[in-house]
Amino acid sequence: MKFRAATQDAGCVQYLCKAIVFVSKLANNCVMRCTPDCIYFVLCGHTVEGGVRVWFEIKRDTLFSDYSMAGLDEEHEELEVVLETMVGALTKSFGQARGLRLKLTRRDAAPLLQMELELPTVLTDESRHVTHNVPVRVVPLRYWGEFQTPLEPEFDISFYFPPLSTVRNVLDRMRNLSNRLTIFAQRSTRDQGKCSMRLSVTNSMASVSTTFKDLQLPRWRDEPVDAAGDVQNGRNGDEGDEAEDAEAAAEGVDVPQSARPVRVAVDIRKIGSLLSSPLACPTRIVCNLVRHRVAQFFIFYDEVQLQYFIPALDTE
Amino acid sequence: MATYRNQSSIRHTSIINNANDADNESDDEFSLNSGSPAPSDGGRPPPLLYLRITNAKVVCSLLKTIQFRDLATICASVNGLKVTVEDCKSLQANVYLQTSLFSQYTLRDDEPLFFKLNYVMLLECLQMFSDTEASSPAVMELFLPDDRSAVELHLEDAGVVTDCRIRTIEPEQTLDFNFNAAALCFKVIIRSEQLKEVFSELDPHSELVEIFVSTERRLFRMSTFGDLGRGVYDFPAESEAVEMFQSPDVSVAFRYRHALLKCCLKALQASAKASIRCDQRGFLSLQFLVESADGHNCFIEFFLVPNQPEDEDEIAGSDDERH
Repeated sequence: MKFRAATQDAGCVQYLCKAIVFVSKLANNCVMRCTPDCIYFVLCGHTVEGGVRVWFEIKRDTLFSDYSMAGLDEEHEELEVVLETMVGALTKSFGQARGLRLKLTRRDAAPLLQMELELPTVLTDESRHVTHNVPVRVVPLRYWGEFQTPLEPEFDISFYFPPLSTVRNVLDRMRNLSNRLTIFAQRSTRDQGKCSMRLSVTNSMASVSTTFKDLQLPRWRDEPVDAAGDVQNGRNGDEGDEAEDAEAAAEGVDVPQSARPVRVAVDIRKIGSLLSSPLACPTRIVCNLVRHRVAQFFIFYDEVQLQYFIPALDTE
Repeated sequence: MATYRNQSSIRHTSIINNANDADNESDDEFSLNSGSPAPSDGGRPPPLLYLRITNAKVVCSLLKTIQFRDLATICASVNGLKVTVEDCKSLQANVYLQTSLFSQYTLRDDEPLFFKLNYVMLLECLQMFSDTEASSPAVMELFLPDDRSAVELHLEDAGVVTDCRIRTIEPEQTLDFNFNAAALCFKVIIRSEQLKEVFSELDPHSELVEIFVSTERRLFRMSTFGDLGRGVYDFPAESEAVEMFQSPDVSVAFRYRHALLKCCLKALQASAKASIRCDQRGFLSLQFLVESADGHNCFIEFFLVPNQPEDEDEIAGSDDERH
């Protein structure tokens, strides 16, 4: 099993280090999965960390000048890495690092991830090399199924999240009211290509909701298109609440499946840590909601991609 | 505070019951596609109070200056809004928002309205948009419905809409200090630029701050008494910072708790001038003038009760030093 990656570009090193620091805030213990094309940091939380699921993808082309790996079956290699240790190695010195080299080595039969940073010296032009050895554990083959690239997710509604600057402030204020945040999203009846999202919190003294209108809907591959030629965003609602159906029927309102509001209640602190990232502003954030189950966030930066799934606080 | 608990206990139990209901609200009730509620919703009686302001950030920054306690009482009259925060019957802060500040102000019945709510919640709601540039106008509408159970706020900024519902509490009578403005002991108007420097430099270890106004030497003095020494700050009547000096008949000195004076600091920092008036009992009235860009000036007022002599037996400082 072999893994080696290196970059000599200071900008790339900075970016990579910031990305690792960011992911470590979301998921401390991660599995680092190396494939010929990408490095992934994956946390498949079922009961760990409140069930959050993290998937962070770094394409080798964008950040690494030298990359080679040879895994168990020539395709994959999976290591379990405690990110906190990696962060500890990086934070103090990455500000001036000129180069970074990652290598999988072994000492006394224990696998290590060797991180070699090239740092400038104060007086001369020569560099000094600092090496950190981070202990890792190799994930056995039988668990690799958990870390596969997720397929296109099933969702009830998918939309582009509004600009971070506005949302972040609103969420910071809402966090002071309550930890339980309810996200509602609904397709606009006036304009099928848009939707609105409402964030709301309640406590014994006050209840606050903020509504963001005119959010664009992204197009996913393999999405069914209905008779009118419009993309049918989301599932058909086959598994929708019986209670909601009954209420709609009682009121005689014929609400089309795709236009019913989708509601998910999540812990607001998890979204907060997601949105306060040291990386530059993301180019796009897509939010998918599965009614009462999970809020999925897909965050696209220039070089990396992050998927973050937050489970609902109460599943009905 | 026993009275508070008795009067509001019934209202609070119903609040807790309702909190759970809010979570179970039916999805059908939630309609993002409709506009904001009109002041008189079909079927509901018109609200007791409705106001609308186009620059909510100005109001928000004013209201933040008196947030030193959790609860505030708001009085709405034909002159405008008065927001009051009190502390232990020794300090009262009032922010006056005149009717001219609002683009719309409707009081259904002509008599003044009182309501009380959690001030921290109100400010959190108003600050939803505090991060965006000051130039983008944030519109705020406030409704107090007929049943007075809650205050409803509707804020809009750049297409993002926030609706808040803050439950009200039984209002209690706010303190009336019987400040006799006609029989003042002294009155001094000082520019805030200089006064706030003094306020922030006051020795934090000094429990009391003494205000001494000398008739003979025509000066306004603030002193502190700390473990390491005494701090003395003089404003002579002739100095540029002092715009007006109405001296007392004889020199007077009163002491006030430093912790209470500190509550005035934020308002002082936001203001252009401060008027310090004192009545014969030593009750202090501090009035801060806040100037705004569009010419609407606002006032923030503080009333402070002096410290009683029997409470300060261990304070050092000889009387000779005063003269």
